[in-house]
Amino acid sequence: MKWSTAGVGVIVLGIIGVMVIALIQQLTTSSENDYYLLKEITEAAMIESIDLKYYRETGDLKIVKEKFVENFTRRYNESTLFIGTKYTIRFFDIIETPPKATVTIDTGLEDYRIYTVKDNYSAYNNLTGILEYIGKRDKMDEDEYPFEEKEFTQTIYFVHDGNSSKPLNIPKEINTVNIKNQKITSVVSESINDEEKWLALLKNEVDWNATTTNYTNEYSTGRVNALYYNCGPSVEVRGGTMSIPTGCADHPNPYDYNKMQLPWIQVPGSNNTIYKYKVTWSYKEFVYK
Amino acid sequence: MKKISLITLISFFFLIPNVDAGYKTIRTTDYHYYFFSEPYHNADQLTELKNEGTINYAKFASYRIWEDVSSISQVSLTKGCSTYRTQSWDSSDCWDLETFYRMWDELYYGKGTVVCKESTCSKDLKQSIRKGTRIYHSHGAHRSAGEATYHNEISRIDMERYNRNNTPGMININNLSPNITLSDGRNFNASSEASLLACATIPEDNINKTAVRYLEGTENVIKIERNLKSTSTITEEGKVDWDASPSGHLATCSTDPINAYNGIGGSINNLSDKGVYSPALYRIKVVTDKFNCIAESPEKNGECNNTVSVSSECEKKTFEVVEDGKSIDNPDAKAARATVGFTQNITLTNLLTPTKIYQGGGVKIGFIYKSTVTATIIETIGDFEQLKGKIYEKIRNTILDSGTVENNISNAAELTFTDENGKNYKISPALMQTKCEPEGDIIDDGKVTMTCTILLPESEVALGTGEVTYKSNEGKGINNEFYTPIKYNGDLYMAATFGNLTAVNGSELDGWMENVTVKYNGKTNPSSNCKVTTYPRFYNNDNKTYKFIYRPIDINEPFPDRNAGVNWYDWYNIPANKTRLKKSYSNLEYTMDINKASSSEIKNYNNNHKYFNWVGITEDGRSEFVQTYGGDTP
Repeated sequence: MKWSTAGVGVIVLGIIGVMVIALIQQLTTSSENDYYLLKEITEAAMIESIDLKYYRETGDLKIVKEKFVENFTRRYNESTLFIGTKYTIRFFDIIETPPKATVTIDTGLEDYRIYTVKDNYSAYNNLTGILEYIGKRDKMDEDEYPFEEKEFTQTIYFVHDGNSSKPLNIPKEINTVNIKNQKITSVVSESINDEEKWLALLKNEVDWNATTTNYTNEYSTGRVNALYYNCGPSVEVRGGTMSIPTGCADHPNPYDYNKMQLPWIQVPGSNNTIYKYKVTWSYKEFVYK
Repeated sequence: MKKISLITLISFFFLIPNVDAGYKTIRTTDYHYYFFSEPYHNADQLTELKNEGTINYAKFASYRIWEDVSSISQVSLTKGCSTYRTQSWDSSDCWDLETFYRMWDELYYGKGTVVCKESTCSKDLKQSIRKGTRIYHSHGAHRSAGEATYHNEISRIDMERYNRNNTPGMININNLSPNITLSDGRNFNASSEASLLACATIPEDNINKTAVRYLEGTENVIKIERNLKSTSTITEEGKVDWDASPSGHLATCSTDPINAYNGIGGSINNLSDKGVYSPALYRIKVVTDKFNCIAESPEKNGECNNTVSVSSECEKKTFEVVEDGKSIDNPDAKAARATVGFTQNITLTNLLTPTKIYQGGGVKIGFIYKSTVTATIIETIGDFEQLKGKIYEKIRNTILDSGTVENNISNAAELTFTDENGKNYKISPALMQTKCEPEGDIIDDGKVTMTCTILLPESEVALGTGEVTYKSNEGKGINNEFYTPIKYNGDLYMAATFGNLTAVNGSELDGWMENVTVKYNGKTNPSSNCKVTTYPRFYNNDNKTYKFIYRPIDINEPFPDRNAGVNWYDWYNIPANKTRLKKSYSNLEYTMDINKASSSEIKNYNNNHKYFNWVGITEDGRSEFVQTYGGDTP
């Protein structure tokens, strides 16, 4: 008698076990399918919400939050079977740049029955996805600090219009998202010929910050040494004494401590005179793969 | 070796314009012909001619101060001269008598008009010839022996009455009409008349005739002395047939006897008198030089981030003006000339930066055009003080105004980028922003400077799609950008052609610097450095797969055993950001509750809107869709 009862018990346990396994399988399979769907849709929606305007202007990636939300919702709705009365998609802490999105999907309650027990469960899927540029050296053990130190030289013209100090824009060639810590390391005066005056006027508003150009004014040319001042965490004045320009205030955003303010150049020259310099910049570059 | 005759060599230097540095001399040769005829109405007068000789004078107004008398010569008049056939009127030593009298009649009774310089008048006709003019004058007056004044003067009253313009009538000696209509309406056969007069002419080999020109004040006076040769038989009885009757057109006529004639051209005082005649024709060659600029329209290759220069000089240009309402052919009209030297120096400078940029990024392009035109008055002549306003106006008309220069440049300013597959990306000339500013006055300052900037138009980049539209606005000036294609990496070659780069009105200066062209072409002219290199940043080299990756992450450890990617590295190294990432689920931003009804609506919406379409997204990133279907939206 004991053995038969035990046998029945084993069979019942087995059935329960199978039902539990089946339930778990159902849960995991359905959840796995939902997860892959979530992953694929997140990827598609993130790519579709990339703001190419921002990319053109900066070379950097950025998504537009509500475009991502819209496209994710539309895609998910298109891809999934509507079982139940509703489902809820929740979006958490979407960062436009660098692009990151955290999404959960709650497909609602589902019923289950194990032996005589009836109940229901909620299935949640969540995922955080990012868009990432990978670099040449993205392995930690290869090189812990993936930035390379580099130099860039440019020719600038100082159009003296009464202001002897002006902030110099960071050249576009070294003003991209993978480059930081741009600062001037030397400013060397050069002789300038008359024909270069016109190039100097054209470059004036490109190279210098917040300046205007009088194209019809008569300018002479000259040569004089210049001072420069890098604003930012490491303060340095090269070439002599120079009062800290008023525009060179403490950087307002502590999170960008690695970014430098625009450097200032001071030319103790004459009004309506154009001077030429070779400027050397140092910077750190994260090299793309 | 073939010998070149001296005449040919000399001719070579006179036939072609004298092209000196920066100008050419245009020589105009005018031939003035003066027609005289001394009548002898009876045998006594012929006897006086034989025994004592006769002198008569005539006067003509002098030439413009810039006209140079090159040669003075007498043209012999004979029946048999073949100049009429050869038409070499200006080089021949002789004219035939019929043509002489034909022109005589035209001057007096036909198309000849009274032309006066102050009180000195004659009847004149004019004919345009190659490189000059031929002017035929009746003798203005002749001096009566014993009197100081000039007889038979054609007076200013005649000019006022018949020709208020005071300019010569027009004629073509090669095309003389056989008939002339007189002022009283009568027609007469001038060809026939000329033949009869020719037959009434004392042959040149019977008469000594000298004519000398001299200046009397501002007038030309010609003194003609005549006397019959001692061997002449004209005064013998029977040698002049005083009663000869004209018999129509005479193909030939005898010289023995000479047939006296009293036709309309015979005696201007007494039409009934028959006479024999001793005509004289005097040729004065007058040369005038004026200077023209040499036509040129230079074309040069430009270099990017550099300056190209074009300079030229027109050393001499002659401007001629005459007082308002009068013709230069009117000797009474005030006229002046000025010789002016011009220079134009042009520079065109280009900026193209940066020359290496990520695919889809923007480059800045601009041009500065500068032209300096100088004008120096080298010499003035004639009534300059009275007419300098007109001269200055002519000089000012050689300079284009800034509006015209702007339009000329912008209509021809074409900018194109070409990729390595030959695909073109153009910016229409109409969109390029051209602005010119002049400075100075060509008379007051002696120079005018025109400065023009030629810049890209404002670009508008659409949110999301990144589509670029160029608008005809100034925008950020030199900081406007041309955006390179996103789905391309490689070299882009800039080509630009600027035509009409001139600040002078070339049509007023004989085509000098009428058009100046500068061409930039990075593909065909690599030394121009007009090239932008784009490198992959959004797409890989295949322009299909993305340069970035999508990666699901664990918010607690997003980058296990490796560095964060370049766009995450600095962000993730800030401790506050690490914390934020871990607490992502604490910051719910959007909730989308979808039920059956809204699901169906969304499916319908999807049928009409593509996923990559950004319609419904505002400039600040708000989505109409999210507003409609969203729950707890911020």
